[in-house]
Amino acid sequence: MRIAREQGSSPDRGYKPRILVKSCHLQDHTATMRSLVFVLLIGAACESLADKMRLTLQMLISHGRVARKMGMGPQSRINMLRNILTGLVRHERIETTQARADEVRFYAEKLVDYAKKGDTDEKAMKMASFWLTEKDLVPKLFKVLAPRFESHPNGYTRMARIPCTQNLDRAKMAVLEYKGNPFPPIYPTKKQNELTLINQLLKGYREERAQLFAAKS
Amino acid sequence: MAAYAKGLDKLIFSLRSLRNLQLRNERGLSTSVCRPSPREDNDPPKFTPPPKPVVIDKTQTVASMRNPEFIPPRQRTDPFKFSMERKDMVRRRKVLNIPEFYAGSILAVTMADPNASGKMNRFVGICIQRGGKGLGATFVLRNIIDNQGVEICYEMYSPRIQSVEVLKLEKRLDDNLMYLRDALPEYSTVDPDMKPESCSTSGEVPVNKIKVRMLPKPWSKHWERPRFGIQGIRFDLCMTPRQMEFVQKWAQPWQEYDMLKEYDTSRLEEQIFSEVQREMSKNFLPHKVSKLNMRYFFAVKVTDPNEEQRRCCQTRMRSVCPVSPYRRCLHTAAAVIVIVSAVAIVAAVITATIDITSVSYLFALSPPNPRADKKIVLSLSLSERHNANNTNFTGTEETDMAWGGSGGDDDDDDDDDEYEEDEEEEEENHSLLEIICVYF
Repeated sequence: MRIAREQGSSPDRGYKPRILVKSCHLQDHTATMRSLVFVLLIGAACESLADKMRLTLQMLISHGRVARKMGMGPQSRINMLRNILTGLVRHERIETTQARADEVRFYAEKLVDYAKKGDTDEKAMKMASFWLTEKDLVPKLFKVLAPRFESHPNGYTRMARIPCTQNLDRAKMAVLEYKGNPFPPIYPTKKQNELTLINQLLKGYREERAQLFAAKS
Repeated sequence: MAAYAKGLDKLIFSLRSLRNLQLRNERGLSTSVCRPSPREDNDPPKFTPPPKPVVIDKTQTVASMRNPEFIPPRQRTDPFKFSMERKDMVRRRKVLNIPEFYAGSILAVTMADPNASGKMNRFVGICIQRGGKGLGATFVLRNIIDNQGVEICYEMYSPRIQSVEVLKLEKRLDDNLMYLRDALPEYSTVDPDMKPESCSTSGEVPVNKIKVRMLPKPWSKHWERPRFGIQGIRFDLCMTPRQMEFVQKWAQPWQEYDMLKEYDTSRLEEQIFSEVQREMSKNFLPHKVSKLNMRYFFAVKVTDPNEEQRRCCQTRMRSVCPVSPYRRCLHTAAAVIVIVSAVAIVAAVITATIDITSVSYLFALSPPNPRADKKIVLSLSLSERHNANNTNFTGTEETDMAWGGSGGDDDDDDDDDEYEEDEEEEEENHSLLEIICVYF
């Protein structure tokens, strides 16, 4: 639940562009069964609602359903994902909630698969123009992202879950990025300090060994 | 099945197309010499060779459409389950010829029914739906009999099904013709005594672009809603334009772009159909196939076009015709009778040489005596050497005890005395007697 902001502040697109990211660790997801049971109980309680809505067991059981429920319905979900995907293509690294990042990840990779088919393909162009709400990103997709991932068969995105939440609602956030972006890495590699004693000794040892080997040959 | 027939279809199609092209050239174009233009009188006319025949093999384009039940759905089940099912499906298809058909084609199915007179049940109808995957694949036939609409859902791989004939092969604008329930009855009536119609000479299946008139509303389902995507109904006759606009409220245009809902089966199809083709061509047992079908398998040129067309309708897939179970039973029964008779003849020959009484003794043997560890020797004499007084058989001392009881009709006391006497006599007559030893 987002708190209403004052007028004049930046619009809530559902994501936030991110350049530098702090270290992360894994977190658990909460179950959504509670909400479903709650809905059903409420439905059972109100008889008028029971008359209008068919309360089937199918509603509770979600076997094999891969798409999460987001927003205010399937259309709202697709629109939200579209916005986030557009932001990802523009900024190449964004911060959203973990659930949204997970959903968008699938669509981001599929979009790149379509982009790989090329500019001339009708279906690819239709998909690109549907999913990217800002039309200046369509050429970027075909001319920058598609050639970048030509050698990769799959796995164009990277998702990292973030521990600290600055939000008031304590929502779990994640960072989603396209690989090969120009920003510093999410998981920075720790550089070994060469000036420590042990490293200096090891360096000397390696040099001596190399000299011996050169002298032999 | 499908894939094998593919090859044959291709061959025959190519033959046909070559023939047709040749005819066309004969009729229309002058292939040999071009007419010289008025300007270039001095240059000799250029010979333009006739264009090469382009064989567009349409039978191979969409193999999945012909047999959709081979493609597994998008599930978390182990692919091994589907491969096992496919093996069984191929086995069944080798026995029963399941031809190619689509929703909208007219089929006649004969099924074994214990309650029907003549044990068989024939139903003719229009196929409205093809559902299910794997061995549970079904198809629903609809017909109207005595003003009563009847729909029967048949399982394609059920052993009760004796034959599936395609009377008219065609496609419709939709894959699912369930709306025929709410259409005028004339669109669902099929003549039960319909004869198989000739199929088109090209490999393509004809599409019947008929638009069906509906009964007044309410219908069983809201067929006008975009979620069904029905093309084959005349909505202009049953609904106003305002109603049509109102119905668009249920349209979900984003579904077309939802990449999650896409199931790309191209690679899977290739793999599966090549596998099926291999299985169908494997384990081909010629002795079980009738002479008629041998011709199909070895792709002999069929010269008579009428015959070709007739065969084309009855078996669009050229494959093994089923050897009916009755014929197989007859074969096995005949074999059994032959063997039994042979055995009987041999036995008769043996009995002719040996006395019947001695044979009865041979067969009326008592159970082995646990005391008698050593072999028990039974000697049978020929009828010529047979002494009237003596008993027919002799035995060692050990066996006398065993045989005493079953020696015959005489009393036990008398038997003992007789044995003592016989032993002395036997030592002389051993060389004359023929001994048949029976070992326990």
